[in-house]
Amino acid sequence: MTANTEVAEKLESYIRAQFFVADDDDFFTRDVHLWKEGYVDSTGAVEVIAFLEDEFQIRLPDEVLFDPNFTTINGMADRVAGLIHG
Amino acid sequence: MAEAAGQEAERATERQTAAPPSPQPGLWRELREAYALHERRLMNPAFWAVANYRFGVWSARRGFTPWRKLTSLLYGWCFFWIDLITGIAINREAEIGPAFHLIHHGNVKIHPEARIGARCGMMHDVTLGLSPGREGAPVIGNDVFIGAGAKIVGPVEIGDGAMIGANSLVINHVPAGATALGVPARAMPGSRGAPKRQVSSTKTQQ
Repeated sequence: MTANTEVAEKLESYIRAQFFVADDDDFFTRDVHLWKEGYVDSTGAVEVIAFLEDEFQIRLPDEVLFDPNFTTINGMADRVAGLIHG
Repeated sequence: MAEAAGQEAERATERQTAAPPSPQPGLWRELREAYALHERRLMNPAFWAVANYRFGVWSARRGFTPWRKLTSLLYGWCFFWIDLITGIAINREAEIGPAFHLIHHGNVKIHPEARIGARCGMMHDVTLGLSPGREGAPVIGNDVFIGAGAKIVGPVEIGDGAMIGANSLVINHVPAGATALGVPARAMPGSRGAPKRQVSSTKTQQ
């Protein structure tokens, strides 16, 4: 659980800084659909995956791009935490 | 009442930090400054546009009504022809700080509500405008460089010293010192202000 939160925290701060998410944007949460709501575009998705791979020294399969759970910060954190410990 | 006044004062200070009002150095000095920045060439259309903006601001401040109307008429006439010939439309209601440099002329549109700080540089094909559904116009800080073709729309704030890459579409706030690039604009990887990424050494060795 703690690994999840740590990953989610790092990912959230990365996305906020990289994609200029305003601090007062109430709509942006860890459960918001990042692609659908326009926070991250298609090239941004690749950047996010590259960030996760570099930051946590893991290898994400290409299929994660089509994974319906891999669209929110919490969903990504679950997947990454599973890979770190798995 | 006091609360409203407080809010107004707060807004005023906000405005000052975003775009400090020029110390009103007089039209002649402003025109000379613009002339010096624009390659000292009278035939530079970017100079016409900036000079006409400065003239428009100056004319709107005239106290004597017939004089204000006459100079405003001249400003409006020049505005129309400069817009037609060069595509540069800088409305005099916009606030632009001193030493504004329009580096290349052509197709620059600045909304009347937009505010630009001091010493900003702007290339051609730049639009500062509104965005449907979001109230407010862009506020640009000091020492900002805006690349060719960049569109900055909606109530966004560009921090001091930021750089906007060419052809970027800026719809979010850009922090001070950051380099924004892309459609929609985001922090350019590796630039100042961008989130640090550790480069994995193990993966490159594999």
